[in-house]
Amino acid sequence: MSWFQSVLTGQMRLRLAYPWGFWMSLLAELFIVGAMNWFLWHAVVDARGGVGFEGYTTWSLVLYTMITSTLRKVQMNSDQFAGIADDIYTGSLNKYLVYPIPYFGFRFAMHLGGSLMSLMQSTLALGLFWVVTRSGGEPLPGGTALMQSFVLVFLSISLRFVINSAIQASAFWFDQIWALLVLFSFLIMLLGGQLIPLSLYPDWAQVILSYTPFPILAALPAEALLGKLSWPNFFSGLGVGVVWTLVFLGLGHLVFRMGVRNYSGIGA
Amino acid sequence: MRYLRIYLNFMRFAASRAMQFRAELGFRIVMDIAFYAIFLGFYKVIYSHTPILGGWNEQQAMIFVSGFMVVDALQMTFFADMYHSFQVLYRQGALDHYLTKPISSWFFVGFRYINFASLANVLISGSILSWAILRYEEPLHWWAIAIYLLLLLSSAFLYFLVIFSLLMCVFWWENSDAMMAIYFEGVNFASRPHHIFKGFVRGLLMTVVPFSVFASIPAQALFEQVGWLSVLHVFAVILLFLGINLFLWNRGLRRYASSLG
Repeated sequence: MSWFQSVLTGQMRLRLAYPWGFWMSLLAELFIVGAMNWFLWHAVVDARGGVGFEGYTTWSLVLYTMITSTLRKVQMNSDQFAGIADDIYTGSLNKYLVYPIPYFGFRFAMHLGGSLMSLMQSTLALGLFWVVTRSGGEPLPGGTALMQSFVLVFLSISLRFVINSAIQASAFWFDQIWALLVLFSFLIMLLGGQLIPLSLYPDWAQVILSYTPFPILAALPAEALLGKLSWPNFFSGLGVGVVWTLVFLGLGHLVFRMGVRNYSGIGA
Repeated sequence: MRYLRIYLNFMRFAASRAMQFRAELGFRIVMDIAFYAIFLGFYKVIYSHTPILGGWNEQQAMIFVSGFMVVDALQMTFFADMYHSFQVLYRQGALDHYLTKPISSWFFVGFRYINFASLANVLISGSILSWAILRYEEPLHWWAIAIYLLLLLSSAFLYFLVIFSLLMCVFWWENSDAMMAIYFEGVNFASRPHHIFKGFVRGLLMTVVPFSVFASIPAQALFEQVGWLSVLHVFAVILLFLGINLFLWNRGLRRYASSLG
């Protein structure tokens, strides 16, 4: 697996070579998401006569949305967003097919390298923000919260990769699949609790969503970092996430193999 | 009339391009339906915990957010393809082609790229807005609705003007990707009622960073049965950004040196 390590570290170095674009968009996103949600949740709590939400202070609701936003950047780098589909569409896939390594493994190493660098930088930015604004009353995450969230973040990176790969493999048949990828990002926003904690959703919706892959991609890692995820919920979320990862891994491979059979090698 | 005829030609070419990728057309429609579902779902959840947000009840919020969807669909259809094309034109020196035509280069670059695939979304978002207006319990005069629709059309134009102003950074900085990334984060402010923002931030959002002018101020004009101050506000901001746009375009072209074209 030395090739995996080489690709992974190569990608990490590449990300370090051009850090300013990432930092600019990360800080802008944190500032905008933080400011917007600060006003939103204060307006909601004011409209409720000052009554807050059970389990959440206004400040923790703001932090929650900032965490889910940075998580989105960690899971999906813009340069990896449609890399597989581009390879298929432009015919660049040819060279990978003759490499003595699995194509998805190679792509995953690239994806993981980018995500790890994003994770380190995002953790630094979010951590600094959290420390500086500690007067907001929200305690820093403890050991359990950190451990749970890091496990779920790594699972979410893998799950996002296999789902995106399965979608991108359809590029063998369709010329432009970016709309499907964006569609999936939208679904995470709504069904994954990226904008609002899932505990504020109706009970029936929470039950249904707990069996889908969406909460693992946004809500669960954020709840874990805020120290709001019990161990039973952590393990059930982990189990559901692993099952969905295996399902999409199999599906992605199946679609890819079917597509390669029809692939002409001069672009899709 | 001449510019109208040219614009109709742009539309004809855009329609023939869109029909080349029919499956993708379907994907885009589904994608935009999901985009609309996010906003409707978001406000449904918020209003399940509070009867009022920023002074508006759920019915008013639904009209406001549907209006935002219409503005978004309009700008996606008539302008969004230009956002991606403009930097390419600049870097490749292909702007030359536009500068030599016997019509306004600003008009040609800004209005040429029409995405017919998004036209279905104007219909879908328009249907959602119709639904939201029909279920609104307070009586609304037809002229108030007509002026509201005019304001939404104007807001789509303002959306374009703001983005085009930022894109023109390319004349000075050679790249406007960072500005665009910040813009597309910031535009989320437009999907929240402006009354929830306070002080300096609200002032900014209603003037020089006019996200609240896109949909929130037009909605206020509607609920006030044509609040003329709100109507004037929208057109004043449009005039401001039209002036900024044309100023930057003329200044930018003086710096433009065809690189490859």
